[in-house]
Amino acid sequence: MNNKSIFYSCCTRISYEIFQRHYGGMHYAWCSPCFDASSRFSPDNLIPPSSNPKDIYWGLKKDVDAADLHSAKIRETRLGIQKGARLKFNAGIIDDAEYREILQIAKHAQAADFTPVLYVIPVAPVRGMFGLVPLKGRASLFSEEYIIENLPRHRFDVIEL
Amino acid sequence: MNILAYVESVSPTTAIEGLHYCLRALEHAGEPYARERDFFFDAPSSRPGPESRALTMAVLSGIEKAEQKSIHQLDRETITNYVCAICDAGDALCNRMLEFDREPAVPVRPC
Repeated sequence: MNNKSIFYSCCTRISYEIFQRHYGGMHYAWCSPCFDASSRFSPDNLIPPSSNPKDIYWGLKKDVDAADLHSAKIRETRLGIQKGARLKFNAGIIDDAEYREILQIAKHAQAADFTPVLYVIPVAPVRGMFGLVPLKGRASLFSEEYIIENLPRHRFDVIEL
Repeated sequence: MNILAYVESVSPTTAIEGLHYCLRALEHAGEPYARERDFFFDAPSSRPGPESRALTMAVLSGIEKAEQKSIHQLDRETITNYVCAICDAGDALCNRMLEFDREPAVPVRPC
C-alpha cells in the first residue's frame, strides 16, 4: 500500500441508498488512492480511465445530465444492482421480499437516480478492511486498486461534485 | 445475435449474473492487459458460480463468432450495441422474475 491517507471510490445515489437501507449501511467500494490518476499531482499511479474515479464520475454525470436512460453505463449499473441484490440474498442479508423490492427499485429508477457520488475514505480507520485487488483483477499491471467489501457509513464521507 | 436465446436454459438469477460479467468484459475490451484480466473478480468473498461463468463465456464466444473477431478488436459502437442487447435481455429477465410475484389485484368492495 502506498502512503496516501485518503482513497476515492465512485458510486451512484441509487446504490448508496440501497446500501444504506437494505444492506445495513455497509457499503462496497472499489477504491483508488487518487481521484484523478491522470493529474500531474498523481504521478505514481497507472490507473487507466476505466478505473479512474474522475473519469467514471464525469462519464456517468454526463449521461445523467442528458437524462439518457439508454446510456450503457446507466444500464450496466442497473444490472449490477440486480446482480448484487442476488448476492446479498444468497448471503442471507436480505429476504425474498427485500430482494424483489430492490429489483423493482432498479427497474423503475430514473436517470437522475444514477447520479454519481464520490466516496472519500480516510485510510487510517479502515486500514484493516482493505484488500488489494489481485493482479489479474486490475485494470493495468501497476495500477493500485483496493476493495472494501463492508465499509460502514460512519467511516467515510460522500460528496457530489 | 439473440442474447435471450443464451439465457433461456439457466435460472434468471444465474442469467443476470452471467450477463453482468459479459458487460464487465465488454467494458474493458480493447484496453491494455484486458486479455489477461480476470473480469470475474468482484471481491474475495464474491466469485461467480460455474454456470454463470459458462454463460458469460458462451455469450462472449457468440459475439466473437458473429463478428468474426475477438471482442478486443471490436469498435466502440459495436460494443455499445452489444451492451444494449445484453441490458435488454437483463431487463426482460428481471421483468419475468417480478411477473411471477405480481400482487393480487385489490379486491373490489361490493356495493
